[in-house]
Amino acid sequence: MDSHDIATLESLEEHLFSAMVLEHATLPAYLTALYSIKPGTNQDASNILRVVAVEEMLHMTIAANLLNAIGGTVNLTQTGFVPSYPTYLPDSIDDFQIHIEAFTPSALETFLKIERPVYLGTVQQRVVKRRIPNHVWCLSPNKDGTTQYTTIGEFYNAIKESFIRLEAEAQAKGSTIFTGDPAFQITSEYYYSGGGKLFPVTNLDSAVQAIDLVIEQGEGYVDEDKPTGVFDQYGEIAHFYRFEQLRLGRYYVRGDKPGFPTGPAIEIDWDAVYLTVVDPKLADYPEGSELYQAALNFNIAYAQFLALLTEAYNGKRELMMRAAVPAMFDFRNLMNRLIRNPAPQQHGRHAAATFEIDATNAILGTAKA
Amino acid sequence: MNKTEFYAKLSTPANDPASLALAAIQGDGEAGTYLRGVYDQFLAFSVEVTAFSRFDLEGTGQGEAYFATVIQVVGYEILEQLLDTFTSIINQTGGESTLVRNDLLRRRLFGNERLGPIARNIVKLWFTGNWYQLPRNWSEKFGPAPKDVTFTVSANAYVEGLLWTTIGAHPAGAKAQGYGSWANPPRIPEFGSDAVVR
Amino acid sequence: MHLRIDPTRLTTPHEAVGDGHYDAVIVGSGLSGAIIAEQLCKEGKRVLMLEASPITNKSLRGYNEYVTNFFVSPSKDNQSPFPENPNAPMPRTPTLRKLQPGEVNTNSYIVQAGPYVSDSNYTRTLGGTTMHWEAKTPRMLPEDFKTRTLYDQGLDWPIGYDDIEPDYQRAEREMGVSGDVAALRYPGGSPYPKNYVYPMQGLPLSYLDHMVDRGIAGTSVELDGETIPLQVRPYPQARNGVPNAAYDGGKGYTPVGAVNTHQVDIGERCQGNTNCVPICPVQAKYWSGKTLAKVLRMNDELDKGEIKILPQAVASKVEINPENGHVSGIQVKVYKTPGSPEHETITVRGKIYVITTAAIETARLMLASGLPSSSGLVGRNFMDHAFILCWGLMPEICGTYRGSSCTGGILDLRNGPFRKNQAAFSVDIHNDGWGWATGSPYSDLTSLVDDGNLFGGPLRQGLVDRLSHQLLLAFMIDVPPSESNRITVDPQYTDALGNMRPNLSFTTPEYSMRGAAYARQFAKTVFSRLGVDDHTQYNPENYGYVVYEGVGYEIRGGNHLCGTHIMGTSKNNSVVDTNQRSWDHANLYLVGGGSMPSIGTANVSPTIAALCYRSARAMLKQLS
Repeated sequence: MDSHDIATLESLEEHLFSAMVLEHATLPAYLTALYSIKPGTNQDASNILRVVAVEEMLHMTIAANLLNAIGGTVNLTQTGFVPSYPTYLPDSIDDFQIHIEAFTPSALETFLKIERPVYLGTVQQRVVKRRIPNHVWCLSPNKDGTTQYTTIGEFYNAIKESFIRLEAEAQAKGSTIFTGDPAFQITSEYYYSGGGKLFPVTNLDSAVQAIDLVIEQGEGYVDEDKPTGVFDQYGEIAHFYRFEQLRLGRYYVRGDKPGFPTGPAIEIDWDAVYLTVVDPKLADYPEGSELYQAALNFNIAYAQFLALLTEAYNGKRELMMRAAVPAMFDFRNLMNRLIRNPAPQQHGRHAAATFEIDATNAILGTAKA
Repeated sequence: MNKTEFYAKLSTPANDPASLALAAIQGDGEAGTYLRGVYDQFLAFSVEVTAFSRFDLEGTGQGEAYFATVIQVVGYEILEQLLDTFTSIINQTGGESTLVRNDLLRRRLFGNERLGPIARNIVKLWFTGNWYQLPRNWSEKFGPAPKDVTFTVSANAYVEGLLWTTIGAHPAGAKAQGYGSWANPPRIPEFGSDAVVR
Repeated sequence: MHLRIDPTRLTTPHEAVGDGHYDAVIVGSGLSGAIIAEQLCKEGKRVLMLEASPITNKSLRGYNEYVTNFFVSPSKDNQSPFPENPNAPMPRTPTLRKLQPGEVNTNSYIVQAGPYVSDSNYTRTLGGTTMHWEAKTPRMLPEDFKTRTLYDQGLDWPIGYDDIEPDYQRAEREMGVSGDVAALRYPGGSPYPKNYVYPMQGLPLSYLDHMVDRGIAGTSVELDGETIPLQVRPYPQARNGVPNAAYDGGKGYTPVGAVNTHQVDIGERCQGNTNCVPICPVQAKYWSGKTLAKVLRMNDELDKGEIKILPQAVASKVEINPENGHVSGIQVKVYKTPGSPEHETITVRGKIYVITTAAIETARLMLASGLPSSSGLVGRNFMDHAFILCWGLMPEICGTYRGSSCTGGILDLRNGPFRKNQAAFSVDIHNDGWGWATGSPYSDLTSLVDDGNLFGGPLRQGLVDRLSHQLLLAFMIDVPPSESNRITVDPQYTDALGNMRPNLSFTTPEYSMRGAAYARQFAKTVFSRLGVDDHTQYNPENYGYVVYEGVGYEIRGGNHLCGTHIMGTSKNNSVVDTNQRSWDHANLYLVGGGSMPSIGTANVSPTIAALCYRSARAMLKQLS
């Protein structure tokens, strides 16, 4: 058994929860970049960032479905669910961190790294062993955090293999790992996103299908033996190629080869962006100021949103449409308001949401009180 | 660029007036300091007459554009007169109740034949993003102001109108609240205690 | 969804003239043009489509420019997204004014000959009026097809509801309708077949709808001895909602989002932009570009059929072969830019010709071609719904100005024995407040600031008090056909290309005015049950002001254009047959609301779309 194998149901549950942490961790970065764009400008970049962010929410929901399918517990309110930025992803330890920052060329490069396909990875091994500094938050297949996946695709492939093996083992004993309550499954009636259908995960087939959807939307990875097409089997462009369109200044159209888009041109106005404090903290804003209060209020609203999602993922599916979706539209306004305000004493930079959820709970003294 | 040059440039708008205002306000030297002061007064006045906080106003991203619009249409002298009047009212009523302050604002500013229509137009700018053509008797007496026609400052100014925020809604065609959100009661933001003063 | 109108799809005047190449020449790219093109291409036919405007909105960027035009227009009128184009002008409400007796307003694109002024309009752009339609999609009721027989009013259709029912289903699939069939079960029964569901679940009713329903549910009105119970029901709408898993025998439905020249993912759900009219900013609302996108994909990927689109091409004359009465070609003026009348005139030809430019333009083109038809009915029997508006303030905050423009209404007076005496109506509850009636919310703001002398906190409170309580009921009143309500042309009134403009003579029939008078009373009854502070006021200076039995009303149009080339049983009583084929010209189809002999109390587009499927079958038969 390889060191990266996920051998037990408990380990699989941990991995699926990590998947939710991972999918969610990209959201503050994508949303901040999206809303830093001055309104009315950079429409192409805005559209791409918005779609990718919405799909990350979809992926998180698919991970919740997978976790619920095997009877695991989804809890987005637990300490550490929202990382402290900057942060690492399972595949990023050697080369990059995710920041909460404005839409800049370097932010775009980070996004491309987040979504990079497996064949574009620099590391050939599927799993690398290395030491992770203590202060660094990181996802890892094993508890001590000494090994990592080289891409998000590999991470999901390990999860897929585990599903297949653990279910085979269970079946051999006349049992199944799919013991979760089907009424917890979020389907298209409760949430939708630009691409991809939400279907219930109730058996191995649907689990594999769900994992493949996440992989394909992210990286366009279909088969490890051949480089992927730009479009997946549903005719959708994977996130990596969506972002690459911005780097290459041109849209992909059907039939294009990776790296050679031939669609309409895209122009980016890098100046039409509010430059925000990088990885902002509440401490960056004057205590007692309207700005501080607004940033704190945002974090409180976000913490409530995560609590709401937790309820929705735990049987109250109707909350997705009734409350979670409007909340996401509301964050657009709250984040925009922060981003348009200059942050005092921050060298002309603008404010942004800090996403310090644990710290906010601590300030309020109400963390799960 | 000194302040006179800035004002002159604004009234012959080859450049985008909002960016020009922004650059001037952020500028160095005497003019920058001076304009920052005027702009601060403009925001303080706007806070008073909209009952939105400075954070909310800056959160629209439209402050500089409205500042530039007023100067473009009616000139800086009248805006400075308005803001000086406002500042003196504030200084005079320090520590007194909103009722007293509003009394003075009405008598000396909103009720001022020259300044009143401009003050009202600044309110309307923040709430709708529209500059409304001034009453004809104002133009006859204090004009001419060739750019004084009804217009929308920009697409974003429309989208950022505070009218919609006030009622917990959104501008038609933008900032939608999400599928099905309309079935919920509206969330109307709270505002200062002087709201009950009728 | 990709709408790839790339250069290979656009044709040139030179290419378009190529004789005998096309099976069908379709004039117009709106609802009817797109559906007909789709149906013909699906069977491998070759289609030339003429579009009078430049087609900038084929890309998301171009479409969004229309949205921006709306944002920066301080008037926000319902054509404000669509640029002025003197070569293919469209009616615009701000150009209207009240007419003095005998006066003619020639400044508006539609020459208003009176005595009543009609603010009916339509949009000349890629997608036609589906760009600015509200997308409410109730079906006509079975009784609407035989009002002469049942109520001694108007005209019977030569076909019945049952003949068109399966085509309604096709239309509802194509337009992507969200609706709740169970909620549309009337006392007289359901017009839907057993087990039918819409492609998507009904859009949720607005908070305002719920507040109104709370006040009227369980109450009723008496009309002609009949007791009519009241409740708020959801309207079906052609905008994307939650797919209904039970649709199509359990196959479900996939919403069609925005069209674009490259991939974009937006518009798969209505977000509640409260801007269906004049333009949905996310394309959650159906517009015919979605159907055109399907046609192009069919051409490209399935190698089925062929469509070529000639933009900036204004059909100017239908040419007839005098020997057999067949159409021999359509004369088209192709202009270089909207800013200049410079153009070349070409004649395009096909085996059949399909004019889909809505009731006013289709009649205009026929009349300008000297083709009033044997019956002389081209242009006559023009209909649009007569709307009256009643508005007031609800006692509690209702959260007006949210949701799609209209989610619910009172539909129980759409039919009944009373139709012998007075027109039926359907009532819309407007989620966008008093805007249509008074110019709210801008008029409220300026009035509170300029006249109310409010600022600061009291202004904010004043806005909440004035806006969040707003209720506007719009009564959509049946209008029977009348031959004197008509479109004509006159060589002294032309557009920049020299094409004759439509002239409109119009009076709201007394039957409809009786419905309007009752509607006003009905509103007062409803308002009294709700505790609404009635603010309804009809201004004698308004262009739609009409005095009926000593009481003044403002009558407005609904842009539901019908009846200028009605269908019937013979060439003596109608212009087209039940397939919308011209009686006089065997290879000519006049497709659209103009074929409808009655309008009932339903928004017309679903019926227009349903008729397209019927006509397409006839065309395919003719072409085979």
